[in-house]
Amino acid sequence: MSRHFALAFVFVLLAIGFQVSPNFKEIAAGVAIFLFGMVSLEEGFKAFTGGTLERLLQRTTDRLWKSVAFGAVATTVMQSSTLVSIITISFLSAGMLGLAQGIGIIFGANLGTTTGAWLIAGFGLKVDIAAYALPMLTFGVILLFNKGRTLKGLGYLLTGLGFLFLGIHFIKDGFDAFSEHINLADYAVPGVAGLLLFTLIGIVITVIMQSSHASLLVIIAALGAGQITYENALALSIGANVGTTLTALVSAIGANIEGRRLAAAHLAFNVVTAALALVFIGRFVAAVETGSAWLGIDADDHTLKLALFHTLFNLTGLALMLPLTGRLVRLLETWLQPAPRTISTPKYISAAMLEMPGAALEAGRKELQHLFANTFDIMALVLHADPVQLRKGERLELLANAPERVHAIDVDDYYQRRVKPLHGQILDFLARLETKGPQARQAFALRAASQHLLEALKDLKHLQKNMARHLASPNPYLRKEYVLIRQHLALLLHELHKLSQDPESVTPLRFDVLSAAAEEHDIVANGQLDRLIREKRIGVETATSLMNDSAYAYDIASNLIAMAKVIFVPFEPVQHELEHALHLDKDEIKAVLAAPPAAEQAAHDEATHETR
Amino acid sequence: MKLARLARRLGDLLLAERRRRRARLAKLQDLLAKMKREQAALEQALSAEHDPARRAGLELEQQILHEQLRKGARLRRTLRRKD
Repeated sequence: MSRHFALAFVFVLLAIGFQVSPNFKEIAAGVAIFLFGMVSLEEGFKAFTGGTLERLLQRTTDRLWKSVAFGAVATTVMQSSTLVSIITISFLSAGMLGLAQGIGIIFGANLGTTTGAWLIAGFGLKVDIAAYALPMLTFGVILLFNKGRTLKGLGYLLTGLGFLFLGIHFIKDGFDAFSEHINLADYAVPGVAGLLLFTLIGIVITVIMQSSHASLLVIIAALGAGQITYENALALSIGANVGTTLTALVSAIGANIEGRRLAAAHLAFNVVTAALALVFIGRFVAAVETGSAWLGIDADDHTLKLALFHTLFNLTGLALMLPLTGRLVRLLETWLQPAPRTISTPKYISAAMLEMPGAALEAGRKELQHLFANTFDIMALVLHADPVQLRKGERLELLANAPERVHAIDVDDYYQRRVKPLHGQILDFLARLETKGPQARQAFALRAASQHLLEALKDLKHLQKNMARHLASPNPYLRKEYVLIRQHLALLLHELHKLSQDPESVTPLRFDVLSAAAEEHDIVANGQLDRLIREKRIGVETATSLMNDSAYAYDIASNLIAMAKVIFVPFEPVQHELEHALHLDKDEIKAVLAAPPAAEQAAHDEATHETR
Repeated sequence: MKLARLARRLGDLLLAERRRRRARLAKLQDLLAKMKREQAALEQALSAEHDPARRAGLELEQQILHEQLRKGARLRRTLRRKD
C-alpha cells in the first residue's frame, strides 16, 4: 500500500515539475531514457550468460585478488554493478562461489562503478554523443528482430548504449537550458551541514532511480552546467555510493542466507567508505588536487575532479576493507545465521536466482542431489540397511544374508515429511524459471530426473511389503531371491552415493556397469525364475509375486541410474549429448553379458588363429 | 596451404554449425582419451587381481568400455566425415 502511495507521490511531483519547467521535463526524460538504456544493456549481457560469463566467473575467482579483478573488470565492461551483484548472489546461492570470493567481486564491482563517472565526465559531456546514439539505436533495433540469441543480445547491447548516450545528451541539454533561467547553485549549503544534507540527497536520488550510474550522471551533468557547487557534488557522490547498496539490500530479500550475507558485506563496505570520505573530505580534496595536477586535469574541470574523487575514496575503501575480508566473513557468518530449517527445506534454490537461469539450473541440480540424499535414507531403511553405514560402505558383506530382524517402515509418512515438500519447491522453482534452447532442455532433464527418483521410491514402497515378508520366509530359495534383490539395490545405492560425492569419477562406464548389474539381476531374463518353477522350489503364486518384485527392482535401478546421469555432474549440453551417445542401450548390454569373458574370448581367438 | 588454412578458419568463424561440429569433435576426442586412460587403468587392475569374482567384474567393465569406445570411434568417424 505504502509503495503505491510513494509511486503516486512521485508521479504528482513529476507532473508538477513538468508543468513548471520544460527543462525539468527534458532532464527527467533524459534520466528515464538513460535508465531504460541500462535495462536494455543488462538484458543484452544476460543473453551472454549461461555460458561464457559463468565459466569466466568460476575460473577467475579462486583467489581473492582475482575475484576483485573480476568484479572491477566485469562492472567496467557491463557498466552495471547491479547485474554483477545479481550474478554473484545467484552463484553464491547455488554454492558455486564462496562468501569470501563473492565479497571480493562486490568490492571490485564498487571500483568498477567508478569508471562510469570517468566515462560520463570525460566523454559523455565533452563529445556530442547523441551523434553516436542514433546509428547505434538503428543497428540495435534491426538486430533485435533476429531470432538468434547472440545477435539479439548484441541488439540489446547496441540499443542499450544508444539509449544511454541519448539519455546523457538530454540531461546535459536540460541542465544547460536550465541554467539560463535558474541557478540552483544559489541554494548551495556550505560546510558540514551541506556535506551531510547533500549526502542524504544523494542517497535518496539513488534509491529512487535504483542506479548509482544514473545519479552520478545527473550529478556530473548538473556540476558541468554549474547548477551545483563542487563541494555539494562531492557529497552527492558519497550519497550515491551508499544509496546503491540499499538497492542491493532490497534484491537480497528474496535470496538465501548467503545472498543476504553478501548484501550486508556490500552495505558494510559502502557505509565504511562513505564515512571515511566524509570524515577525511579535506584530505581527499587535497589528494584530488594533487592527482589532478599529476594527471593533467585542468584546475577548473570539476567534473573530472569529481570522477577522480569518486575513484579515490572507493580505492581507499578497498585498500582498507580487503585485508579484513576473512574477519568480515567470520563476522557475517556469526551474525547472520540461517533460519531454523527442516530436512526438507531447500538448501540451494531461492527466488533471487530466477533472474540468472544458468546459475539457477545448477542450484536446481544441487537441490535434486539434496532430494536424493533425503530419499536415500528412506530407501536404505526399506532395504534394512543403516543409511550411515551404507553411505560409508561399512559392513556391506552383511547384505549377502537376510537381516536378523525384519520390519516395514511407513514410507508414506517419510515421503510426506522428507520428500514431498522439497520436491514441490524444486518443481515450483523450475517452472518459474524462464529458459530457452539448451537451458530449457536442462530444465526438462532435471524435472524428468526428479520424476525418476520419485518413481523409484514409489516402486520400492510396493516392493517393501513382499520383501519384509519373504526375507523371513522359511523357504530358503525364495528367501535367497529377496536377499539378492535387497543386496543389489543396497549396493546400487552405495555406488550412487559414492558417485555423487566424486563427480570426477562419473564416466559413461560407471553407469553402464550399474545398468549391466540390473540386467544380470533380472530373474525373468536370466532364466532363474523358470528354473525355480521348473524345479518346484517355489509355488506358482509366489512365483508371480517374485516376478513382479523383480520387475520393481529392475525399474528402481533403471530410474535411479537415469536420475544419476542428470544430477551427478554439472550440465554441459555437448558433453551430455556425447555421453548419451556412448551409453550402451539395453540390447547392447545384454549382448555384452551374453558374450564370453574377455580372457576366454582372447584364448578362443588365439586357438582359432593357431588352427588356421 | 596457408590460404586453405585461412579459408578453413574463416569458415569456422562464419559458419555456426561447423563451429559447433568442431567443438563436438574436440569434446569427443577428450572423452575418448579419458576412456582410453580408464581402459589402461582397468587392464592394470585386472593383471593385479587374482580373486575370480572380482576378475569377472573387471572383465565385464572392460567389455563394456570396449563397446563404448567402439561407439565413440564410430561417432568420431561420422563427425569427421561431415567436416
